[in-house]
Amino acid sequence: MSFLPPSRSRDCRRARTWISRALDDDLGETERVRLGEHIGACPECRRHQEVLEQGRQWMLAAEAEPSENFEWKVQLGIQKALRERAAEATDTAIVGERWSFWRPAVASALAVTVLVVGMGAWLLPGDGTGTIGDGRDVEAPVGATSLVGARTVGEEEPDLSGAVRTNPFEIDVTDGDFGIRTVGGPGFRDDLYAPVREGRRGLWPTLPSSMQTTIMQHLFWNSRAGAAQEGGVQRLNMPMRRSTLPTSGDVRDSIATGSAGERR
Amino acid sequence: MGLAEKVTMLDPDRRPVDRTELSDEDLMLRVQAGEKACYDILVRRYKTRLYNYLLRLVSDGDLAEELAQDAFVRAYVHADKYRTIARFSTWLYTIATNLVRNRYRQKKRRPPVLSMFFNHGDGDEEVVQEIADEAPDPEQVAVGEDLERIIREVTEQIPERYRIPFVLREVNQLSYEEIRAVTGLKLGTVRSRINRARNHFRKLIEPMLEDGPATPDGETR
Repeated sequence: MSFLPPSRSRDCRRARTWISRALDDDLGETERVRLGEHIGACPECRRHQEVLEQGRQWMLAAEAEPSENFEWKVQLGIQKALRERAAEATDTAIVGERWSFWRPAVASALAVTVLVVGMGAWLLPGDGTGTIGDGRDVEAPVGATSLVGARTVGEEEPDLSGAVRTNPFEIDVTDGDFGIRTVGGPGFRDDLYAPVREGRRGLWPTLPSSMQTTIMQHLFWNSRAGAAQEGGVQRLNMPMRRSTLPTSGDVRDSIATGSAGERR
Repeated sequence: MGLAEKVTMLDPDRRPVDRTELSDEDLMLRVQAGEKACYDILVRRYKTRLYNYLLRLVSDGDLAEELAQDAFVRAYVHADKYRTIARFSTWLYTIATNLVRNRYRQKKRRPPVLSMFFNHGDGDEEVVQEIADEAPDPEQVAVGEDLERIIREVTEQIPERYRIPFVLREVNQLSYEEIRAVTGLKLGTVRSRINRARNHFRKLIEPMLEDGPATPDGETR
């Protein structure tokens, strides 16, 4: 719907545009002269100009005032907004702090996961070896089985390079000596006791540190609790490569130096 | 004038400075530097202009005041984002205009209760049919209030897209360039919309000009 009658000339349409711009001092001199000429000859456009000028005066005259407590409300609004902003910042900081607190733990967990997965891959049996827990009595490598149960000090060092097991192992503190043996693994019997004697293997440093820590903690705390005197046997559900079993001397030395860690 | 405003400061040359004489932009720089009292001066300077701008846009005094307060709060909270390349007034009106546009959107999402927008013909000329939600007794209102009501009723019938630049020009007397900055429209569009709004306005106000706002004794001026 147009407010301009269809019969209005193009000059009038242009004059209305110019009137609007003239009100805003946005009209060039030439246009202003031509507008003046048109308005002088066109009462309708002159009326249009008068109404707009009058309306503008009314609009300015109709200026209203905000309430008296407007500024006070603004102040309250600012304080509230700043409080909310501070609270949001605090929440963000708390989340950051919490994350900072848990980040080492999460990182450690991830590292352990990677380590376990890596060890799992590393310890996965090759041909001729079994894994514990599958319920099958798998034939173990001939060399590994026979050597573990029968060896004594002074015997020839067996080649255990292929004897990869995921068996749990036990730490036997019977007779004051430290023995570590695998248990329950396929192809192994519990009685295939493999005492780890001093000088037998010096591979303790090659054990993963987590495994070293676990072994030492068990030995240390059982010793303190008298478990050792009672011939207690601790079972550690840790997979390990039997070729990297520590010597009891290594374990004992570690305990003696206190590197097993103390529980407070 | 509050005490905080009267307190003079020292400029870098160690000369006393009256805050109330500072430009809007200088005041904002001081607000950014942490001088809260400078913002009080800005609020005092612009509260009436901003309130009237919003009042013409939303036709509701309470809502206009709420929006104006919200605009001032936002301008303060985000003062760090203000850059002196823009005038403070332009920045403030931009914030307020965005608030109003959000209100319009919310209003349009709801079923129309008091206001019905519909198009005629080519769709360019929108007409707003308003159903009065209150009918003040003209015999009891003062002339100023009557004039205010007339202007409110007229401006609220101007389509929103024309109304914003029109009010910025007529009420707040912003330049075309400032209106362009506030609305984000092209300069030619600003001119065109103001012109269209004036055509609407003329049509709506002319009958009332003939009658004039009612005087307290019931006569027209």
